[in-house]
Amino acid sequence: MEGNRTQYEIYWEILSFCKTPRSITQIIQRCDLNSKTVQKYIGFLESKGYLLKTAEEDRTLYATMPAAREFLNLFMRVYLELYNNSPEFKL
Amino acid sequence: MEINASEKFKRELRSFTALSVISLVFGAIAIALSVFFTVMNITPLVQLKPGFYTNAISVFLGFVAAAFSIKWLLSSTEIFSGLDDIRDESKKLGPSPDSEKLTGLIVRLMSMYRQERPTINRMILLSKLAGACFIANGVVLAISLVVGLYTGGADMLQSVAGILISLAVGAVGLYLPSSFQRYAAAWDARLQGSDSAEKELSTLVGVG
Repeated sequence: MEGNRTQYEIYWEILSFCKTPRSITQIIQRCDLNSKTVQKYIGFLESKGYLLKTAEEDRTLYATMPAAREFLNLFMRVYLELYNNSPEFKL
Repeated sequence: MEINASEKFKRELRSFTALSVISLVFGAIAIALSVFFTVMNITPLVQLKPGFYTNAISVFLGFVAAAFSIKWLLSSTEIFSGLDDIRDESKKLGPSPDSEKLTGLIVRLMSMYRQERPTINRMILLSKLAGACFIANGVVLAISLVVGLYTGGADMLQSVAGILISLAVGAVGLYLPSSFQRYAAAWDARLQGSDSAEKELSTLVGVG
């Protein structure tokens, strides 16, 4: 599944899912990634300040930061426009 | 804009689901008919009854059509099952949908299309091949009927029914690929658009 999405689509899925803080296992399950690749994506998003690693009791959680809002909004706008401006398939 | 996009998404998903169901149903009918034509023609062929060559051609076409139809059905099933989750999620979209949910569904459908594109292309080809076999079988049955009318050995009702069924299934087999091609064209245009979207996103995020 991972190979069928662009890196930006995966970033967007992780960031929109982590609006509520999530564990790495939850991110792997929801975003259909494996434990190796998820580290790569999370590492990138952390380096951009879009995602923050927090410790809650014994768990490590990841939460989307306000800095990611610009990316999330741009992604939604671009994809909705792309979909809306393309010809519709009708049977 | 989200309401328009949401309505468009739902309509398109309904159309594609209907197309997949039609493809499934006709794939199953094509298997049943190809087996029927093979069995119906193999008995007179073995008994060396008149019309040996037309029976032999019908048996051959029946075998070939059955092989294409089985693969056609399997490809249709694969596409149909991939739509299940997305259909369930899209039902949850209300009249004024959440942009984030809608974007998520668009991303999932785009990802599904990237994954299923080879299957859709295979189905376009298989459906055309199976359709061509049924049309050819209809023509063979028609020739057989004309010959039978001259020699007095034709069962008019059975032959006409066989010709009509063959031509009808053949016509559907040839029509379905054009619908799948239109679906593929719509998504290919979006995939091309997503390339330029990536450029815009990479400017913001800063990766190539």
